[in-house]
Amino acid sequence: MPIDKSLLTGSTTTLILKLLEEKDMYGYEMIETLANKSDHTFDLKAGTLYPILHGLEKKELVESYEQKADNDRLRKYYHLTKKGKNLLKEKQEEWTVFSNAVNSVLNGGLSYASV
Amino acid sequence: MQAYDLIKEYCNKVSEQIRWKKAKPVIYTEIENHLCDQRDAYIADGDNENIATEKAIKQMGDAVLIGQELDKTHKPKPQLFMIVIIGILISIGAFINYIIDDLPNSIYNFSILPYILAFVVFICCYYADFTLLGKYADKIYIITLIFSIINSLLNVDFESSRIWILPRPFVSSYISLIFPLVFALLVYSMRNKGSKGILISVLAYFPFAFILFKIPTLAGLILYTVTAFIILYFAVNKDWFTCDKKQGLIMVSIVAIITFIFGIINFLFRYSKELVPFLSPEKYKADYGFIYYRLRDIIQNSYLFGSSELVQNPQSIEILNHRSVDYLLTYLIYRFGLICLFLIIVLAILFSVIGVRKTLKQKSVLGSLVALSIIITFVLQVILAILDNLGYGLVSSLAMPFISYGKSALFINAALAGFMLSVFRIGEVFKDNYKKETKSFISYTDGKLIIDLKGD
Repeated sequence: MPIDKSLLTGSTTTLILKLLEEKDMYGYEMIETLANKSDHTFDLKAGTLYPILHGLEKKELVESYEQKADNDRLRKYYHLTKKGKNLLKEKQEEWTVFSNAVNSVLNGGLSYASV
Repeated sequence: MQAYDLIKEYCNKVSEQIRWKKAKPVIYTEIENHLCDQRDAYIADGDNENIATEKAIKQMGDAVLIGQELDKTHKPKPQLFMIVIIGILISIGAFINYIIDDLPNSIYNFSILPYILAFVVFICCYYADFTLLGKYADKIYIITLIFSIINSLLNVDFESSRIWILPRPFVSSYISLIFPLVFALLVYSMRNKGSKGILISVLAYFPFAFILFKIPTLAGLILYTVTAFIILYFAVNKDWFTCDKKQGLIMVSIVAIITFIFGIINFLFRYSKELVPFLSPEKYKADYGFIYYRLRDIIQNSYLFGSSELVQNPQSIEILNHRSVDYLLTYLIYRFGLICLFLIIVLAILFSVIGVRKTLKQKSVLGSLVALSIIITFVLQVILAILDNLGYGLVSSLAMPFISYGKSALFINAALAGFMLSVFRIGEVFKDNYKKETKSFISYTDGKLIIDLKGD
C-alpha cells in the first residue's frame, strides 16, 4: 500500500539518527538499510537524505569522517555524536507519545498499549 | 553522452547551486560516490551501465533543488565574537600605549596607525586561505630556517637581538612567535612517512631551538619547545605519520625528556643569580630582587578600581616611569585599578577557551595543527606576560598579545590570530590531501611477477 509521503517528512531525521545509533554509515548504505528494514516502506531519495545529513552535521548531531572502500572509492561515513544521541532519545519519547495518542483516537479513545 | 559523463554533469549541476566555492569539491565527491554506488547496485541487478546510470540519477532527484538545499547549509562560519575580542584587545593596546606616551621618559612616538594596520593585517589573514600554508608547508619551513640562519650569521651581536629590516628594527625575539606555526607545517608535510617522518620532525625542532637558545630571553625557546612537543604528540596520536603509535610516542617522549632535562639544567645555570631573589625579593630588594619586589609592591598596594598613585611607594612608581613599556599591565593596574587586569584576563581566557574548543573540533589535520600552534603561542604569551607584570616573571616575557609595546609582536600576533580564525571560518570543508597508494613499477603478487607499464 502506498504511504502518504507527508507522514514520513517529520520522522526522517529520527530515522536517520536511529540508523546511525547502530553503526556508522555512509549515505547510500543508509538508504539501503532503511529500505530493507522497513520492507521498502521508506524508500528515501538520496536528494532528500544529503541536505538532512549535512544539516545534522552543522548542528553537531552527527560528525563525518572519510574511509577508503575496497573499490578504492573514498566514502564519507557519518557518526552519531553524544548530542545526536540525546536528541534521538527525545525524539523517540516524542514519537511514543504521539503514536499512542494517534492510536488511542483511531481505536475509539482506547490507548493502543492497553488494548 | 557516455554514462559516466551523465554522472559528472549531474554533480556539476548540484555544485553550481552552491555559492561557497570551497564546499563544492566535498559535495561533488559525496554525490558522485553515491551515484556510482547506486549505479553499481542496478548493474548488479542486471541493468546495463546506461540504464543503471539513468536510474541512479532519477533516484537521486532534481540536481538544482538538491544543490539549493545544500547551499543553505554550506556557508563559511563567520568568527564575529573572536574578531570583537581581538578588536577590544588591540584597542586596549592602543589606549595604554597612548597613555604611556605622555610619561616623562617616553620617546613620544605614539601613532594610531600601527594599530589600524595591525587590525587590517588581522582581517586580511582572516579572509586568506589558510590551506595555502599546507600547500607550501615544507617550503615555508625551509625559507624561515634560511632566513633565520642568515639573520643569525649577520647579526653577530645576539645580545642586542635586533635585525634591521628597513626602515625599522625588527626584534628577533619575536620571530619565535612564528616558529611554532612553521614547525607545525613541517610536521604536516610528514604525512605517511612513518617513523622516518617522526625522526625528521624531531630533528626539525632543533635548528629553531638553537637559534632561540642564543637569543637573550628564554621565553621564546620555552614557548617554541612546549608548542613543538604538543604538536608532535598530537600528530602521533592522530596517526599522521602512519606508524606504530606506541613506538611514535616513545620516540617523541625520549626527545622531550632529554630536552626537558637539558632545559632545566640550562635554566638553573642562566638564572642561578635570580632564583633566590625571585623567591624572597624583600631580602634582595637592593640588587637582583629589585624588580620583583617593586612590581609586587605596586600590585599589593593597588585598588580594585581607580588609581593607587597616592598610596604607592615612590620608589616602586619610579620603575613604572622608567620601564613603563616593559610593564604596561602593571602601569594599567596602577593607573586604573586591578579591574583592568581582570578584564584582560577574562578576554584572554574567553579567546583561549573558544580557540581551543574550535581547534579540537577541526576535522583536518592541517586545520588542527595550524590552529593548535597559534592558540598555544597565544596562551603561553599571555601567561608569561601576566606573571612578568605581576612581579613573578622569572623569565622575561615576550609580549602581551596586542597590548604590549612594540609593533613587531603586534603585527605577528595579528597575522597569527587572523590565520587561526581563517581555520575556524573555512576549515570544515578542507580535506587533508588524500593520496592514492602508489604501486611500484614491478611487484610480485600471488606467484606472479607484475610489471606495471601504465603506472596508474
